[in-house]
Amino acid sequence: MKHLFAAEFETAEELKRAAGEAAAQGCPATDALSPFPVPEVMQHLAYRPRPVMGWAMAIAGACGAAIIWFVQWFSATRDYPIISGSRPLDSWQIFFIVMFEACILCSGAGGFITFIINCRLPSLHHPLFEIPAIERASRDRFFLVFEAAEDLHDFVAERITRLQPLSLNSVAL
Amino acid sequence: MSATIDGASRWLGPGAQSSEQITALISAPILERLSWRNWWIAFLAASALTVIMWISAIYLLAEGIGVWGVNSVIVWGFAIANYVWWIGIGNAGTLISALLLLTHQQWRSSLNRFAETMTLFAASIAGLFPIFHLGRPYVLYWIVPYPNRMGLWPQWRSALVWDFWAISVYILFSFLFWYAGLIPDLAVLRDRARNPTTRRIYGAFALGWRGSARHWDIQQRMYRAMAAIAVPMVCLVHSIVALDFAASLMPGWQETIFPPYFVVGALYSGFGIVVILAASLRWGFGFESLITREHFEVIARVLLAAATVMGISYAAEWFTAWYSNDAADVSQVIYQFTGTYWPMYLGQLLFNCIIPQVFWWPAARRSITAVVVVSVIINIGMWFERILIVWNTLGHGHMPSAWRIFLPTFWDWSLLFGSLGFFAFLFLLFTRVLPAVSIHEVNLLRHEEQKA
Repeated sequence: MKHLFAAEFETAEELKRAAGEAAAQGCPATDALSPFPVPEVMQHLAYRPRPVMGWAMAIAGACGAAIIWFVQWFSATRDYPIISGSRPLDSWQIFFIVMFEACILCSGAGGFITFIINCRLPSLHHPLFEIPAIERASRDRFFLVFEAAEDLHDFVAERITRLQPLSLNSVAL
Repeated sequence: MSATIDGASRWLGPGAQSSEQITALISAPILERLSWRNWWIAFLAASALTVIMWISAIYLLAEGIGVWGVNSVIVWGFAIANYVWWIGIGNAGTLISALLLLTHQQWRSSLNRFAETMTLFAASIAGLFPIFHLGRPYVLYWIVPYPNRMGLWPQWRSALVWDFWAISVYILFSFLFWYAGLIPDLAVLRDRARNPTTRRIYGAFALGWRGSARHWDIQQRMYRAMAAIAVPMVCLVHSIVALDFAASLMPGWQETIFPPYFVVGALYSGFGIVVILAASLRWGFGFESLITREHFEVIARVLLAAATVMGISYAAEWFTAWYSNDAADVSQVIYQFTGTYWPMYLGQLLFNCIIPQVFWWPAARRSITAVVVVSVIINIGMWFERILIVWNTLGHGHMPSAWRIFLPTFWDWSLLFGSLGFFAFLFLLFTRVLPAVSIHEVNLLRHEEQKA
């Protein structure tokens, strides 16, 4: 059985300090909760982000553009050719407009889907929501989250107490 | 710099100096019991106009576009002018939000949420007008590419198809961008709501957001990347609208300056509406500490710059006509100044180019009343510009025997004012169910200002 600890801090500066000290003690936090992004805390966590967002969006956009280009080319030159104003059937310059729009839409949708999958959302239930006063993480409190196996419970709790949090709560997973 | 600017907190007033204050202030219209008398008065007025709009729309769909003042020469009329005007307003929200994010302008934090919402509503209303203007709106889906038994495909070289893509992609993308920024705030409402049903509803839409460092990291990467692609998209949307005109062979339309000039015009009228909405929120919900005088001051500078660009664009049109030495083009410019609609044309120049020059005076920029009044004037001027682009060119084309004027009917006006009411209706509802200002971004702004 594993335990989740949530140590509460008052400011973003406190959070950064505590995360740094925890990492220095060899017991880095697994996550941090904050009402706004505190990017500096990431380097102290036992978590390395995989920067897949840009690639995912680029690939999704390129696929969308390629598909709609093919649809335009196929419909305008092969399946349904109409001569309009004696312009060539393969008016590729014009195809850029819809291709660009499709590229934007697909990369935006790809980005959003990547966000949902990578954050493992929606997750309406999470053990952290059991912790008292955790709702203040969306408003004015900062939390460091630690994970500990059953036999390490007391050891980790002691290490976290050294960080001098406002409060320390744990929940069994 | 004026003496009232406190170096430590330039963009936030004394009522927004702690997380609790900010959260309470922004979520009060949604979660607290306030006095709603003014809101209800506005809502009833907006609802009445909304009913008028939909009666006009239903009558139009039942009878056909002959109920409008359009004739066989001026075939576009109010519908297309309203479309261009509304999409212009709709353009600014995402552009403001994305461009100011990429350029690290901190003052966007208080404006971006309701500006993006304005975009969603205005672009959706804009999208209705070309549909209303289609002779056969019930076959609208024919411009969507899908395999069908008739063996038909859309005509990709048609501006109507470009419009369909531009507007639908714009609305869908803007919605994703808006929702991506809204999720953390929905979590705030979930955590603050006392009523369990309210909490469940916000909780469901917040998708279980915990404010975790991993979530923030991924959300911020997505948000910045989306902003980076939103900027070219916004420019393209109004450029495509401009191509509806510029890709034709009509005097006064067939100009290469049209796309950039439409984009600036869109930014201009959109910023004008942002000012009006910002002043209403400030007054209605007591957001003085979030939307400060400084915000109006910087927007006034943007309006001044845009007014100058608009003036140069108008002058470029006159120059092009003179330099081309094309009889139809020259006649077109003379018609603008001396023809049937000359008072509106002079009004357009006065409202869009001359009056905003008042913002060279710091006192005018710092007066919220002055900025709001000029914004209203700018939007009237921009509507004049949109309608005159349609009337002057179509009514005074290459063929003198086909010169006509446009006489608007009751249904033209009822749909225009009704659409304004519908916008207000949607926006008033929005202020009651979602935070009009981004809570987490203002919180971050406060953190950065207090750190500095």
